[in-house]
Amino acid sequence: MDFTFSKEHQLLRRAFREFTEQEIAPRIDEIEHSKSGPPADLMEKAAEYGIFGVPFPQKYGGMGAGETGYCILMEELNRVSPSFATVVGAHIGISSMAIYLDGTEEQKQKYLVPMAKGEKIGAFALTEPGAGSDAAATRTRAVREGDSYILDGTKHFITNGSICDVAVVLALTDPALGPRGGMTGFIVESQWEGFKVSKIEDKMGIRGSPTCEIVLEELRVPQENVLGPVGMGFVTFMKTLDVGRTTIGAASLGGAQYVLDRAIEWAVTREAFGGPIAHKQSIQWMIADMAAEIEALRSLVYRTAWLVDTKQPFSREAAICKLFGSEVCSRVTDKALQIHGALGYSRHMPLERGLRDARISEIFEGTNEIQRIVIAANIFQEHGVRIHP
Amino acid sequence: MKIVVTIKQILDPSGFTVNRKREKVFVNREEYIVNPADLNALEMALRVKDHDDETEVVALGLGPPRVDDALREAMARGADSAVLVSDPALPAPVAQAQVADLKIDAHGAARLMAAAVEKIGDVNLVICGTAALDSGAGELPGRLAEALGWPVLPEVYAIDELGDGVVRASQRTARLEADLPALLTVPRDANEPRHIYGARAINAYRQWQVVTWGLDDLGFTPDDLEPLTTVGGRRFPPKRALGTRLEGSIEEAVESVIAQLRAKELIEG
Repeated sequence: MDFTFSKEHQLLRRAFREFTEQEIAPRIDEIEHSKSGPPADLMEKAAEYGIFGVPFPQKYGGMGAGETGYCILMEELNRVSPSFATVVGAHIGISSMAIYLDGTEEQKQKYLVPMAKGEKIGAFALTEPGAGSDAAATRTRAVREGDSYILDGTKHFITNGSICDVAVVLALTDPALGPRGGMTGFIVESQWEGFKVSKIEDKMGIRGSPTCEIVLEELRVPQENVLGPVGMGFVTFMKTLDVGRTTIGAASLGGAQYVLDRAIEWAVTREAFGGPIAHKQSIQWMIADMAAEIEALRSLVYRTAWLVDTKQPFSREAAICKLFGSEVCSRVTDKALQIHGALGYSRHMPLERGLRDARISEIFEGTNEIQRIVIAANIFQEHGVRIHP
Repeated sequence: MKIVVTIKQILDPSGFTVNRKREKVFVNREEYIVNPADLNALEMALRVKDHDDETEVVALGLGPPRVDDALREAMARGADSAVLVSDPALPAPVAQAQVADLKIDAHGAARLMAAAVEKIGDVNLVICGTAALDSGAGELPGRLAEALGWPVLPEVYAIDELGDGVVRASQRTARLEADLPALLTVPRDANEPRHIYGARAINAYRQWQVVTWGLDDLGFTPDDLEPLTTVGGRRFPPKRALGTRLEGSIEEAVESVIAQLRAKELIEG
């Protein structure tokens, strides 16, 4: 057993740290107040350094850093800007990933390569007004017409919806069959006629990442843009979310570590009752509890990344990463804010934004309730029992 | 054009704390970084390469085997290849807490590196950071140029022209010209070094090699490296005097600053 990061992953972490601190951190306000995603020049610079293709092989324009490298990226991005991390996470972790997992070689060359290079930005269009956690309730229709499919429906809460060039969309091809054989994935280009952004959400947190409602109106998708086998779209989308879950744990780890570092800094500088508050047991216990949870999360995240990279089953562990990670990040951020006192509640400090930003991780990419179902289903299955949600 | 950039690995200053009272340096995290000015030197070389595909940039380091990491970082930022001069016969690194790696003196280091530059062959330009952050001596570049018998252009902010056997470069207040081959030194504020390219970071370890040369390869024996200078002892630099705190409104403070500058005859009127 060896818990050290490889040399290349250590260098990669330094690379990401340098990029986030020098390029992203000085522009947090600009990112947070933007309605149209991170500034274009910052996106271009991130593309230049390979940030949009971290886990994918170099033959597809990626960095070749695997799931471990991708977790390091999400950890580092989320330290500095959960909004930026969300844009990148939706692009890599679920949109490009779906094409990487189930796309044909032609689709990978046409879409994955420019996406990994950051020349095209991706979105993942699964959620609908009537189908959130219950993705099997998808109502968007895809009707075959000659060599094409005609898509009609509404997708909402779609990260990157307004800035994407490419979206992977789940639609019903056979309503009688539903999720088991009746749903199909499609690769859609946003400039095609019938792809319309109808609303941009005003959110509590991750305000610098655009979350949109998308209306598909008689959108014609050529047959070669069917993602995976016809009727198997639900499987593709669920499999993609599985991989994405680990990295939400990683992002939560970065966010939690960041606020712990701030809390430690504050505890040693802030003086009350005749000395730094770090000497107060109440503060020490909070710091110790935060550090303990973060350490457990770190081991969990990178062990799961190792499972993914070594092609072992990881579904249960990935769901635990997402569930535990998101809750640790919220708890730790709450404690860090408490240590800062009223100052932590101020908008001048990153704690207040941290708390708002952390909250979404308990919801998106499968709510934590869904994660519990996934975990329980995996555990019972290991004991030979199939449970039905 | 073949350009060698010298890369020094130093202890990360954010990883240690200085206790002035006990006159001790405590290493909390033993981590190493590339000397910052060397990244400016590398950037200057890479900018030549940006405009000329034929240009080859070689990173050259000297020290214990761990310097390998600094050289791979240089490749991850854009250097084409890397050479490490390292030999078990070189004195072991000094205790980490002493911060600076004074194993052989700059004279010995310069002679070894000059031999490496000659072994690399057909080098037109050597670019060095003006000084290292740890020792701050700035002694190596001059000695290296001396050992090579090349002209040295110190404190260069930009290369204006390079080719036809001549380099023209701008300092802050002067333009210099020298025949090639030549050596330039680059200060820390000369440019903004580029970041580490992710795919190159992966390839730097998985695909590319650092060539390592020992004393034998360069035709040296440990006796050849007898230092010209030895360190007779160390002491803490004197404590810097604290400035004066000006009370009152901003206007009053500004008036006070102006009055003090006038009194010291640093400004007129």
